[in-house]
Parts: sequence; structure tokens; C-alpha cells
Amino acid sequence: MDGPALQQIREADLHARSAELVVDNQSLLIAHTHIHSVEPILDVVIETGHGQALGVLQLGEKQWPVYCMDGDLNILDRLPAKRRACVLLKSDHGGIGILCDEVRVVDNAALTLVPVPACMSGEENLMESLAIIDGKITCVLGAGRLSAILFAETADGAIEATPLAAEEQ
Amino acid sequence: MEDCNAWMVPLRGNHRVAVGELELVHVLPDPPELFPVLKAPRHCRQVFLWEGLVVPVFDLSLWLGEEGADDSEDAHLGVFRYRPSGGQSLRYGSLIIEGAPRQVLVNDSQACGLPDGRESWHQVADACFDYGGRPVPILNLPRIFGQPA
Repeated sequence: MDGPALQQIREADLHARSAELVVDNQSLLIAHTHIHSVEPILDVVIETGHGQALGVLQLGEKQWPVYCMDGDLNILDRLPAKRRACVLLKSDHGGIGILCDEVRVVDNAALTLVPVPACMSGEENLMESLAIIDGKITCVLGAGRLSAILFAETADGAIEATPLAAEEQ
Repeated sequence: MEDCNAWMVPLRGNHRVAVGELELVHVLPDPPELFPVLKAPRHCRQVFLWEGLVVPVFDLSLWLGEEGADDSEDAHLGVFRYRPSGGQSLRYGSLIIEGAPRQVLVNDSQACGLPDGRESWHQVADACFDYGGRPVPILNLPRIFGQPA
């Protein structure tokens, strides 16, 4: 069964692009519609007091908690030098920021979606699909599931996220 | 008593398993480029492209509890085909192997019980035969590749 990210990507006529987030040489494909914006890392204020978020990004009236992860999606409490951009994602948990080394725009027509092999699925694996792009295979994930992974990673079980305004969701 | 052809496949940890003659389709001469699947189980967390297909890499030795090889970058891979239950089209998966598979003739007189000491064999093998005084489980590939870990 397709997850929301897969459905979004399949709607190629409406949303013809996806974003490829690169963290520690690991690629992750997210539907363009799950992304609010991409901001420079210089705008992120690194400070404690936001749960496991490394800091916050102020955008207009809203403050977005910003998380730093390694290539296995484990939350880090430090900022690796390679991180260059902050991707603001929309999700049911509210808006969150993810620090990436690189963000590329991918034309959906250039990728082939394939299901995650059955022996790799299960409760632990939250990838919605795999995609073949230019002879390489990358994971496809929705912002909601990425938030869920972060949610599971947080020690107190809560993401301190700023709810998005209804018109942005 | 009729003999059947089978492939006997060596695995890390001094295990030997068998599959049907037509189930082993290729042994990759060189390690392919492997791609990680995030949050996948430790024994099956990489895939590669083969003939345009995405093929999972399953480390059966690790699944059985053998430690010591957590990196499949330089591993030898055998590509296997199976038909999922329900008569769906053929699918492909790969196992990390240790050495070249060997074709053997097997008949019912060699039937024996699954190896002692590892209850998990019952989850991946339905039958077993004796070869050279050692039990060789016959793998149920749809169960290995076709079900969630």
C-alpha cells in the first residue's frame, strides 16, 4: 500500500519534482510538497532547551525546531561541519527543520519507484519506497514518517514542534 | 529412488544450505555497488541493481546469530529466484555466500532432521538432507525473502 509520500510523488502532473536530501553521503527522497522551504544554515540558532533539537530557525512569526541527524537518521547533539542547509518540512507533528549536507531537486520523470523488498519491511523500517535514479538506489520517505522516526528517537517521546498554520499544511 | 539436482551453498559460520537447481540463477563475480536502506534490519539492510531489478542482500549467517561480518561490501553474493505464495511473478533476492556453490545429487534416502541447536532453522527451511555426515537445510526462499523480518 502506498504511503502519503509515494502518492505525492506519483502525482507527477501536479508535483513534478522531489527533493533529494543528502546527509553523510546517504540520500533520502522527499516529495516536494512536503517541503516548506530550504534555508541557509547560517539562519539556524544553535541553542539548548528545545528537547533534542539542536536549535531553532525563526521564520516570520514562527520558530521551527531544527534537528541534526546522521546518515542512519539518528539524532545528533552536535553539528558536523558538512551540514550546509536546513530543510523545513511540513508534517502532522508540526513543522521541523532537518540539517542536510546538500539538497538537490529531482525531476520525478527521471526516477523509477520500486517497493521496499518484503524481507526489509516491518515495524522498524519506515521507508515508504525505493527509487532508482541514474543507476543508484535511494530511499523514499514522507515528512510525516521522518517526524515519526524523530519522535521515536526523542527520549521524552515528544517533539517540540511549532504547529503549522492550517493554510500551510 | 530418483535423484534430484540441488545447489549446495556455503555460508559464513561453516553453514551449508541447499536450494533447488533452478533457484540459484547467478553468482556475482565481483561485489556490486550496494545501497543502504535506512532503518532496515541489520541482517538485510542493503540492495543492489541487477538486470534492472532492485535485489535485497540477506545475510543468513547473521540472521542465524553468527557475529563477525557486519559489512557486506566485499561479500560474495548469490542471486536466487523464488515465486511468492499466491502465484505471483518471480522475484529475486541475494544471499551472502562464502565460496562457490556446488551442484549435488540428492534423494529421499538422505533425508534427515534440521541441525540441532538453532530453532531458527525451522523458520527458513522445510527439509534437510545428510551430505557427508552433516545436515544441509533446504531453504524456503519465499519465506526468507517474501515476508517481513
